[in-house]
Amino acid sequence: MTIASWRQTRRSRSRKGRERMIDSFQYGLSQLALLVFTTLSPSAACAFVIVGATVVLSKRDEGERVRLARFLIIPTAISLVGLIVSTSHLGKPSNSLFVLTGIGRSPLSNEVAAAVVFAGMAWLFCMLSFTRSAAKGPFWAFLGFTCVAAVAHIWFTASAYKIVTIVTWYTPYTLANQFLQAIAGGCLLAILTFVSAGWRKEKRLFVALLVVALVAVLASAAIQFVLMGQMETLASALVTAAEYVPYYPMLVGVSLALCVLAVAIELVSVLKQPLPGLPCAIGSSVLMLAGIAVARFGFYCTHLTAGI
Amino acid sequence: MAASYFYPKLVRRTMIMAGAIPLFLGAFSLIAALYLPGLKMVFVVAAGLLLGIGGAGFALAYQRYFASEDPDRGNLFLLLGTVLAPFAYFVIYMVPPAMTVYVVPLIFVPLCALAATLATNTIDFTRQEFQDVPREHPRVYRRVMKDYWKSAVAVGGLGFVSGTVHGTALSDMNMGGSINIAAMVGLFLAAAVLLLLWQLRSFKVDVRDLVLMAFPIAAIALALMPFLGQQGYLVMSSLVYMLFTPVTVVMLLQCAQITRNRGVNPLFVFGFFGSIVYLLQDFGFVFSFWVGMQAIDMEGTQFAISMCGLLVLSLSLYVLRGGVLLSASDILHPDIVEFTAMRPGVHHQAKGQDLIEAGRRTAGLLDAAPEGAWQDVAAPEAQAAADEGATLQDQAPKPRANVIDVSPVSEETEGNYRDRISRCCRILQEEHRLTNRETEVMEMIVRGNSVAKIAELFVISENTVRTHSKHAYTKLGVHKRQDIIDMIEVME
Repeated sequence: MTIASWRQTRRSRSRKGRERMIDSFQYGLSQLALLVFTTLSPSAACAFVIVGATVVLSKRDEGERVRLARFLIIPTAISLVGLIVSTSHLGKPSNSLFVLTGIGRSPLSNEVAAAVVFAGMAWLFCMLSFTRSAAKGPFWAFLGFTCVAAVAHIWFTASAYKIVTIVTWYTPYTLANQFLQAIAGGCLLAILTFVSAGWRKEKRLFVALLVVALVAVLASAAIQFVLMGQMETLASALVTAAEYVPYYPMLVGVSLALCVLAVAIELVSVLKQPLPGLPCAIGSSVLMLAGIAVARFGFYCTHLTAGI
Repeated sequence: MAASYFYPKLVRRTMIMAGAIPLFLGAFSLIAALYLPGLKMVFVVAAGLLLGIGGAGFALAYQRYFASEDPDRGNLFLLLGTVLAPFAYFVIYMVPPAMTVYVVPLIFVPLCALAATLATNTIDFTRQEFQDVPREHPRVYRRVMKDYWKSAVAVGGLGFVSGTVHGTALSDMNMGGSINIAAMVGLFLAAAVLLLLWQLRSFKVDVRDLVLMAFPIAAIALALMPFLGQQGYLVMSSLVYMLFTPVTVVMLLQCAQITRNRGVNPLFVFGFFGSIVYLLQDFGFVFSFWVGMQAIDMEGTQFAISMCGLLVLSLSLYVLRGGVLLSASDILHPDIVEFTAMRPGVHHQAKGQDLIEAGRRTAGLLDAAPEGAWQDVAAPEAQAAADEGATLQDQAPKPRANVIDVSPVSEETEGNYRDRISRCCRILQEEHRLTNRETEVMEMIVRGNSVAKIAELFVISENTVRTHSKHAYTKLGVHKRQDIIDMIEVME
């Protein structure tokens, strides 16, 4: 091989590499609607479970528990926003119901159905919390069923991405990562819900949630580092994952930084101030969700199908 | 309106459901139209009717809530809600089309019903205007209709024009979008400007003045519309629609004020205004739709709609101005030719006598009236004011002494007082934040009028008089008429 031909080959490979990199980036951008959905909805569902469990198990008086139950409107609204945004690619209203025709056999239909069921139950629960029948047995039972629906929602959302033809997604890390991200986001959204409802004295609970969130963030980052190490081996017929998404480590780093910062801010707010403040809770929730969104973006960018 | 007159208690219980259920069914009719194309027209018509009924039901429920609050809170909440409404509208606009038909009935309607229910739970239904049985005071309700039908027709003229614009939008999606945006901008600006002014100073707003201000702009826009091309037609149509929405905001404020002043059911008042205004708007819509179906060319259609709109608007203005009859404000106009009767009538003599009597009272003869027994003394000025249908209300926000007065200007304003009692009453009004109606009733009490006489003069029920007097006494911190007289006497 002459130097000229070597240079030409190298330039050709560089040009192709850039093109593939742009392809992966553009694919990630094209999935913004789903990115928003998988960032917001699972985290909100996890927050619903955490707060819901507290409402049921807490020894506070009934009035305070009903008040906290009413503030479940926060994770419910966040989940609904994610669900609504995810439908932007459907086009016509008549397509909305057709998405559900594959329940049982289609992971996507299962995902949508689970999200709709949870969102509907959570919304109905929030409406009922303002009625006179709140704080009675059936009311709390309904809350329990809604929490089960929340867990199912997270499970089916994560399962929808374990697709055999996408080599980078068909790993045990996909499901685990989605759950860990939901837990991390859910813990901070739960704290936001507590603080909004005036439950500000639960320092032990807040610290425990922040520790859990931190562990989940670090575990998720660890999984992503492991995936990074395997990227040279994960490949299609044309390109390896490492060549396809060379900026993946940067995304993992940014995501980790944002999530850790979110936990740190809220931890300082909980430990240093007499009572945790609402602005801090909002800011740290936004940072955490932003960090999760960056991680999800990286996930979508790694969409690498087997074959050509 | 009729239901609130004949069945006030029934309407009180069912108002929110009367809005929510039709809205819910209407939205699902639209969904059904998507999946059953064979019955599309049936479902679309049903959806239109149900959504219209539901929307009106909710509007009435909220109007009832705003009117039940004290003037400061009620007007503040109404204006704040109006400022925020465009943002809520744009949130719905951002919902993907695939989800809009589901999001509205499943999320927004229940949310609105919940908010309306929570607000309604705070209403004190023992208040006079809710306990009032309209059939026992038909004169009061007839008087309301007589005093305000011209204002309603004037607003209805703008409503007709906006209806024609909306009807045209059916055939042009771009136009529909522009009109909706113009309506939201108009709402936002109207409420924001009122709120801002309220923070800075006291002022008065009158539906009739707003219509008079809007008329030349609307008339010019309508006249130009057929000649400016499609783009110009779009712009002028949006402008005309934008003029209608601020007027409706002030109309709502005025409806609430009428409720408080006259002690009538808010659903009746808003129903009365709404019946006229929105009926005319519907006429405009149907007319525009009919013209569009006549197979005339585009320019011809636009010309017919513009000219008809201009005609209706002019007629409504004519009605507002009282036709060929002079209104009170015309009498004050410097260019008016005045004819003075060659033989002075009883009215003028009585007016002088009353002033002398008022002066005597001011000089210290007020105590002549026994305690608690209001003398039945005629007050020609009050009679004239009542005949003019003067409805003054002072609405002052707590941190400053600023007021919004949504009413026609009476003779007694800005230092133009007929005697010392009147002036002192106005000072007490400012100091103790009495509403205009409370001040009027207080003044009549001080002048020795009985409850029955005051009710007759102002064409309101005796319970309403007692309510206003009770409020006035509470705000002044007194328990009897003599206390108010003493307060006036020690004033300069």
